[in-house]
Amino acid sequence: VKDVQESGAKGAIFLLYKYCEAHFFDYPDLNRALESKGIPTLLLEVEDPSYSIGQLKIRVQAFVEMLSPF
Amino acid sequence: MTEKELQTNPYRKIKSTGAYRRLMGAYYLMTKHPSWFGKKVAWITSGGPVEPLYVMGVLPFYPENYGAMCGASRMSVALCEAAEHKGYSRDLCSYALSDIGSFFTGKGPLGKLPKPDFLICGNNICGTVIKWYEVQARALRIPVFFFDTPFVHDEIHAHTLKYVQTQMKDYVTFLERQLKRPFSEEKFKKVGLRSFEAIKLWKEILKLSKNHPAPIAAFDAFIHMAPIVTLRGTRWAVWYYRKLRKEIEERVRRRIGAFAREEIRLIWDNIPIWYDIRNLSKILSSQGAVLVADTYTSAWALDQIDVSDPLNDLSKAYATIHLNLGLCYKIKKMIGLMEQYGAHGFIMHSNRS
Repeated sequence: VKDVQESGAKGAIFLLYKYCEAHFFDYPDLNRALESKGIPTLLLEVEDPSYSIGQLKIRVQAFVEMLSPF
Repeated sequence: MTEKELQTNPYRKIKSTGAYRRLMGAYYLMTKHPSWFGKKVAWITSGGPVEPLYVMGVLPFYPENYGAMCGASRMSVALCEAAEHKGYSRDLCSYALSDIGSFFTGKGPLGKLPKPDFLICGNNICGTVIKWYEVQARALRIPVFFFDTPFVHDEIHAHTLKYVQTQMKDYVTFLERQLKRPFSEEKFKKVGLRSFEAIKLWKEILKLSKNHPAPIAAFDAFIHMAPIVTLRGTRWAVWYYRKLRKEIEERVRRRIGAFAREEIRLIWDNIPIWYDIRNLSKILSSQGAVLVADTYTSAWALDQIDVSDPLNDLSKAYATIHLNLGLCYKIKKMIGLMEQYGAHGFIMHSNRS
């Protein structure tokens, strides 16, 4: 939360590797902390090597558009 | 397979099951209403050192057992979904998800669970519990003690043992601080002896299935292991396993098997499928197959026992349980089980818990 606020970022993206439980256990609490401060988040779950790059692009694009003023 | 075919090999019910239910019922009543008994409650992992808790008069509650109960009572799906709704990935361990779901919703086989006073987390059974307990400690705003047991690939090294022993001392200090009273070495010896006694009885019971026919099947062991997990260190566990051993010994004397027909003797590896033990048992027994031993219930049958130096000895025992040992050890143990129990085959149950 501090990092986001100090850097002036408008949102945060969680890029988690499938089955990496250490990060998946932390995600709900981290996400809640950010959202409670009104910081939008996006969760991307990737699998190496079979992730679909097109889908990721669209989701990131949509997230960026959502954060853009116009 | 028709229902009739499935029932051609009747299962013989263990009579001590009644006593087992009363015992576990009393235990769960106490953990659900600790204040009635003036007790504090600690959540602890299944392989965690429980004896120091009993010394300090703290009631242990086992989230993993509870997860298994959720599975056996077929409540897991709804509880896991509740946790998923809170953002927990469905790929996470279902024991953890069931418990987290139960924590959020207040639902489950026992309803709302009592708030623990602190958590004890040992990673000798798996690594998942570290993050799981961290999440719970944060949600409950209570302290958690981590008991770290490095994985033993071949043999336990002297520095590993020392590291674990130091933590056992820290654990005692942690308990003293939490309960604001000193740890009694005297009482610890008593609890340790009772724990070892119960473990010895449990091992003897499991070994009785080396007989042909096997008097107790792994399906029974999955159920009757609950006191060795939750109540080792208490008089209750010793009392119960004495009773159970007597019954099983009587079966051996009269050459009575767990099932009427035993043609194939099999060994089971890993956790059971809690949500459908009954059907698995039926399918196997209809073929005349009996699970005579398993690697799971004996995971609590600690091998090293020397009571002259209980605290240090306990450290070694907890650092070297089955699940914390390397592949070579496991292979040796499995081959040993095959030979000792005269088994025809092995069922390896690989699953995403």
